Amino acid sequence: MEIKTSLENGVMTIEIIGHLDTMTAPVYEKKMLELIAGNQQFIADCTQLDYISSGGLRVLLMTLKNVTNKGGKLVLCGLQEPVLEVFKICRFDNLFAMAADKQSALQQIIK
Amino acid sequence: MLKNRSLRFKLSAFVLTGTVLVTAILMSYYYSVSRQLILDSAMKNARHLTLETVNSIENVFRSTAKIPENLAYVFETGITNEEALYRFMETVVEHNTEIFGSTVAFEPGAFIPGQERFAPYFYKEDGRVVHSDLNDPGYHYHLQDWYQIPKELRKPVWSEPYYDEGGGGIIMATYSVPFYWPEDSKKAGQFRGIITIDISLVWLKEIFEELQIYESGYGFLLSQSGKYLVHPNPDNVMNASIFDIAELQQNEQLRELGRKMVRGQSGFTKTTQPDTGREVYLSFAPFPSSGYAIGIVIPVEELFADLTRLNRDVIILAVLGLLALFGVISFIAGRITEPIRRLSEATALIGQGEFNAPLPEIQANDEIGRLTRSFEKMQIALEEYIRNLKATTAAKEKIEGELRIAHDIQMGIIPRTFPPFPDRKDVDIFGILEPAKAVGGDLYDFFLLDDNRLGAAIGDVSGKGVPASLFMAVTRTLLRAKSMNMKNANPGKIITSMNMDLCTENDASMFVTFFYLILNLKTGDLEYCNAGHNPPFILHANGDIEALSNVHGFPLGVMEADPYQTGKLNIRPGTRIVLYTDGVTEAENMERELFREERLRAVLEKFRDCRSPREITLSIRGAMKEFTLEAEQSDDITMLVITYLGGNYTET
Repeated sequence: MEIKTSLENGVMTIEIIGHLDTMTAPVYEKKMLELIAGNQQFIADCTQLDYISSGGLRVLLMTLKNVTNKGGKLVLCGLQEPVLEVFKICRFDNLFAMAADKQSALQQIIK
Repeated sequence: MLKNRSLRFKLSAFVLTGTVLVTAILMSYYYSVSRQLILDSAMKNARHLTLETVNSIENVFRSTAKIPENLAYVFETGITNEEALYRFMETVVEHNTEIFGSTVAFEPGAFIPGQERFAPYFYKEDGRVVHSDLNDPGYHYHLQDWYQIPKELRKPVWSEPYYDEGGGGIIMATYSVPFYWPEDSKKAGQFRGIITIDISLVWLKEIFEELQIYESGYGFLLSQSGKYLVHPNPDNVMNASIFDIAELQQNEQLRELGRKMVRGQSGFTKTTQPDTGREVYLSFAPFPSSGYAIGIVIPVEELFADLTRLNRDVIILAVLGLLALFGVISFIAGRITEPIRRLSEATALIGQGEFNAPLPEIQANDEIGRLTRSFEKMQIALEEYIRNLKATTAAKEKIEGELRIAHDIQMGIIPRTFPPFPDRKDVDIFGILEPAKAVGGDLYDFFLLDDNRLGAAIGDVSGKGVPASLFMAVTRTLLRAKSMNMKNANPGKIITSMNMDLCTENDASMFVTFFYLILNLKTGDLEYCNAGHNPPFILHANGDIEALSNVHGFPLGVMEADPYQTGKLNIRPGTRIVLYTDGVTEAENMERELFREERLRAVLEKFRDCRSPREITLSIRGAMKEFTLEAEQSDDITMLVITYLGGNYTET
């Protein structure tokens, strides 16, 4: 699992590539905690996220909680079909702000 | 052979072998060169000695020969009367010590005309010189060799040596000189007579005896005919000739030598003495004046005696030296290899498991010292590694032990006795829970709320392993507690209450997807609530299959949300409820394909008429196994199947 980050106009984009499960979740968690320290607006780009397990859901939830507690915003974008299904079952599609792609996500944050 | 020997031995052996080889080569070379040098030198010395001896003897012969030659001259120039002759000759014999006797023998009528023969012989006797006459009818001096030969040859001749019978048996030789009529006489140039002198050859023996030729070397003298005049063996003297001896010994070489010597040749040869078997060198030379020949015999053994002795001494010294060298090298090699030996002994101990074995103290900074220090570091690292390993293994075993206990505890929490209510005819239940690790985050639970109502739940904690199992234990406890406390609440309310509790103090953001149902066994009324879990399948009595997906909420522990909804449904006897977690639908095979709801549904369709929860459960499990094959189990697999048989259930 790879994580790529980029900063644009004060918005930190985390690109999650590969599988986010119990094994890879700690890597994401560490990176995320680092980034949250200095940023408020986040986009989680899931275009290349192939699979997410409950462990992965947990760390995303954690991200959401941390960002929200600091008064910031988190938008997920580019969710693939299998991953979206899982979100739907858990009703996380109601919990997380989602966008189709990065552009829309940026727009959502600015609003 | 060398493979198993110690370093010390190998080192010593190699050095020693090399040294021995070099020494041997050097010594052989030195010996052979020395030998040749000695031989050359000996040869020169022998020649020198030979010639010297010849010279000194020749001098005597020559000086002695001068006397009659002078006499001949005197007589040629004129001594005419008898008395003058007598006086002259007496003087000569008296004054010359070498001369034993001397004769003047005249041709008939050559001295005093008319007198036939005249041959006075003058000799010493009792200190006086007396004379006698050789002109003896029985003697015929003019026919004797000493007269005839010089006469014929017209030159002086030394006779063969002979024993003087009269004079005590000593060896004598006679020198005969012819003289002639003076120039101014009528018979000028004609043979007139012979002058002889007799001298003893005993002084020859003395000269030869004085010769020092090594230890047992000697000189010998041959006459013109090859007869031994001087020889260390007195029996040979004047008795045997060299040819006699050669004949006796069948020695052709000796015969040849004799011939050479008699012919007046000189030389240096090597030969073997037949009687003694000794090898000898022989230097021989002629006496020009007398025709005698001298031979000098040098035993080879003695010639090289010094060299042989020296060689022997050197060999002994060399051997001793090499032994000492071997000792020194062995010692040094031992000193050098001792640290290696000690090191090897210590590391052998370490190899056997005694990690604390002390390494030898080596002060040197050479390769061995560095090696030892490396070993020390290695030893320390090894000890630490083993210590860590032991600690880690102990810790791991402890944890594994604890995990086993935790597994047992977890399994103890979940109802595992099937059938759970054997007395009841209205419901049958079967379930399985297989954690991916020792302990897992899935759970199912069921219990009778009262005589008519069954509560059943299934849940999946986010994650796996110990953290998930702890959360699962909490969830399960909450379920039971709330269900018992809120006996008349619907599932939605109970779940809402559970969520409240789970949301507090949840720093780890753990959540659990949960499904809870309450079934009234008398009426078939089913109430349910889904908190983010996979919708269970309902297999109706008539074979329809539907998923309960219409009621949906967040998983528990996410956030304090709006109250959860409760779904309602009435089911007929014969209905089966299939609860599962995503460990079923997300089971992976080697190609990373997922089992998915489709395949699960396919199994359910095959068993749509099967009433046995056990059979349904195990068939689904079997289908999963066929699908995943060798792939590792990636998530907890949990299933719970409930068959509602109804209060008035009868087989149709």
